[in-house]
Amino acid sequence: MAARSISEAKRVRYLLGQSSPAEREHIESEYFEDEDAFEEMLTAEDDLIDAYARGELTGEERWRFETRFVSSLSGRDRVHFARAFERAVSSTRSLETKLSSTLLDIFKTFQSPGLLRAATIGAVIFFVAVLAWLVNDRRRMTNEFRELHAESAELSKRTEVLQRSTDTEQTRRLSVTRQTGILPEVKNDRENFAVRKPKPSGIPINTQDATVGNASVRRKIIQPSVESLKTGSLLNLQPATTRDIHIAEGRRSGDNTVSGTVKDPSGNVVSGATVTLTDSVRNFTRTQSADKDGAYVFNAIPPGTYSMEVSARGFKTASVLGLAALVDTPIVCDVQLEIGAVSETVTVTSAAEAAINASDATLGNSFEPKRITELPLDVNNIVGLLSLQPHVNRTDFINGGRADQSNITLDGVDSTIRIPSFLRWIRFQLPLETTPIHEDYRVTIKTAGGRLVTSVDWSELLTPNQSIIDTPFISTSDLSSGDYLLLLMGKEPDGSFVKVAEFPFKVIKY
Amino acid sequence: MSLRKVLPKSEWVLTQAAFDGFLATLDRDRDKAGEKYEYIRLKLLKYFQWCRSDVPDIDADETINRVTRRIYEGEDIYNLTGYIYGVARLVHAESLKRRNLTQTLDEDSLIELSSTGVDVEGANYQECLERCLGRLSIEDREAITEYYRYKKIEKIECRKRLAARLGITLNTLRVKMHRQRMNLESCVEKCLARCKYTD
Repeated sequence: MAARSISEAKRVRYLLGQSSPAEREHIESEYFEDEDAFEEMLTAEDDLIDAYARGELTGEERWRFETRFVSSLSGRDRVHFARAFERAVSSTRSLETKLSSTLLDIFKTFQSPGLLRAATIGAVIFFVAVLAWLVNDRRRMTNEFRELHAESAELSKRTEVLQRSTDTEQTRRLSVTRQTGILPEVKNDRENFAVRKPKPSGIPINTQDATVGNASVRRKIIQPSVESLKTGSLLNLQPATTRDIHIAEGRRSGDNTVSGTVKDPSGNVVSGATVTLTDSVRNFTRTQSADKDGAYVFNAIPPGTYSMEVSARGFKTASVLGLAALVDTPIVCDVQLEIGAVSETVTVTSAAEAAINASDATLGNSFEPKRITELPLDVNNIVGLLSLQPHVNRTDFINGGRADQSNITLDGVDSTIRIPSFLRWIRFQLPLETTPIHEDYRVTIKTAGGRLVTSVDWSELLTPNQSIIDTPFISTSDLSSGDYLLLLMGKEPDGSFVKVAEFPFKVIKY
Repeated sequence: MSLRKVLPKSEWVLTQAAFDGFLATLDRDRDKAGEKYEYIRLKLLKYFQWCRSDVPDIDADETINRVTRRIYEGEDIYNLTGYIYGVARLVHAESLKRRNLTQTLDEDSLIELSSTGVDVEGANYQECLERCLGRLSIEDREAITEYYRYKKIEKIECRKRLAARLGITLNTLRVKMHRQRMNLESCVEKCLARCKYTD
C-alpha cells in the first residue's frame, strides 16, 4: 500500500502480521492503554478491509489479509460488507458525476450567445407581465376597497336616519301614552305578561268580595322603585285590572301590527289610498298611503280598539270600526272600496278575531270582560287568570320556564316584587281611586291559595283628595316567593271591615 | 494477599460476587463499570482476532475470568489495563501452544471468498445495505459515503476536508466513521438474517 502515514503503516503491518515482536508489543500495549490508539486501530482495520475489497493490496498483503481475516467468519462478513459498501458508494459517485456533467452541459448550452439572449428576453417579458398583473390587481383591490368604504358610509347614514325616526316614533308614542293614561310597557328580556288598562267603565266598586272579573276598580300596579327597595322603606303597588287581560309571550309584548290591502270592487289593488288608523279614546292617529300594491302596514300599534278610514279618489270612504289590536297578534284587515264620491262613507264593523299570527313567532291572546265574568273561575289573582292560556299553569310556570323566569305586568307595569334577602321589612304604597271615607284601615295579605299571611290594622286620617295610602311596615319573613293578594279594607262605623281595593302581586325573593 | 482460599485455575468458576468485584474495580458506578467492561472485552476480542486466535471470544472471556479471579482473591492491581494485557498475552501463548499453531497456515486452510456462499451483489444484500443507509441521517449518510469514497491519495485529502468541514479532528472523524460503519454492518447483518428467515 502506498502513501500511507508511518503510524498507519505500522498499524497495517501489525494487522497483517508483519510487525516485529518489539513493534507488536509496543502497538498492543499502546492500544490497551489508550482508547484513541485502539480506535485508530479499528479504523485502520476498516481501511485495510476496504483496500482488500477494492483490490488495492499487493500480492503478499492480499495473501496475509486472507490468512488472517477471510479465514474467520466475522472477517468474511466484514469483507462482504466492504464490497457491498464500495458498490453503494460507487453508485452514488457515478450518479453525482452524471448530475454534475449534466449541469455542466446545460451551462455550456447557455453560454451560446443566441440562446442566452433569447432566455434573457423571455425572462424580462415574464417579469414585466407579472409586474403588470400585480399593479392591475392592486388597482382593482383599491377600487373595491373604496366602493366598500362608500357603501359602509351610506349604510351608516341610513342607520342614523332610521335611529332618528325610531326615536321620534318612541317620543310620539310616549306622548300619546301620557295623554291616554296607558303606561309604557316594561321591557324585559325574559317572558312578559301584559295586563292592559281597562277603559273607563263606570261600573261601581265591588266592596262585597275579592273576586276579580267584574271590573270593580280601575287599578294600577306601580313597580317598586329600586331606591325604595334599597332603603327598605317603601314599595308601591297599583291596583290591577280585571277588565281586559292580554297575555303576551315572546321577545316583545304589547305592540302590534295592523296591515292589509286596499282593493276596488273588482278585486284590483288601489294604490295611493289614504289609510288612517285612529283610537279616539287615546287620541291616537296615524296615517299613511297604500303602496303601489295597495298594501299598508301600521307597525308598533299599542293594543286597543281602533277605527280605520280608507279614502281614495273615485271611491267612497270606507270606515272600519272596532278593529281590536290585541297583544302581539298582528291584524290583517283588507278593505274593499266602493265606487262613489269620497264624501260618501261606507261603515264596516270589524269582525276581526284573534288572528293567527303568521308574521312572527310571538303569541298573544286576550280575555274579554265577558269571559272573565261568566266563567266559573275560582281564582282571584292574575296568575290564575293567566292559567287559562296555553302553556301557562296555576303555579306560574310558562312554557316550562320557572315562575321566577317570568314577569307579570299589569297595564304594562311589572307587578312582580323582588325582595332581596337583606330586606327585613317592606311597606306598600297603595293608590286610592275612591274618596277616602275611612279612618281605620286593615291590610290583609293572602297567598294565591287563600291562606292568610298577615293582617295589620292601622289608623290614618286621609284628606278627601288623597290618592295614596301607605301601609305599615310588613315583615318580609312572612312573604316567601309566590303569588299573593293584598286586600285593603276600611273600617265601617259598625266595626266591620269592607274591601276598598285588592292588589294581586308576585314575590320573588333572592 | 487476602485470606481467601486460592483455588487451582481449573477448579475456579466465575461467580456473581467475583464478577461484581471486577466491575467495582472498573468503576463505582455500575452502569459506567458495565460500559468499561464491554470496552475491555472488545479490546481483548480484537487483540485475539488480530493475533489469529481461532476462538477470540473464548480467549477474551478466559482473560477476563483470570483477572476477575485475581481481583476476587485480593490481589492488588495498580494498572488494570496493563495487567489485563499481560494476562491476555499469557492466554494467547497458551492457546498457541495448545493448538500448535505457531507455524504458518496451510494453503488448505485458506478459504476463498467466492466459496462462502455470500452473494454481495445479490438483491437481498444490496437491499439491506440501502435500507440501513437510509436509516442514517442525511448528514451521516453523506459523511460516511464521502469518507469511504476515494482511494489512495484522494482518500487522505478528502478525509481532511471532511474533518475540516465538520469541525473535528481527523482522528475524531476516523472514530466517528468507524462507529457508523460498525452500526451499518450490524444493521446489514440483522437485515440479512431476517431475509434468510423469511426466505
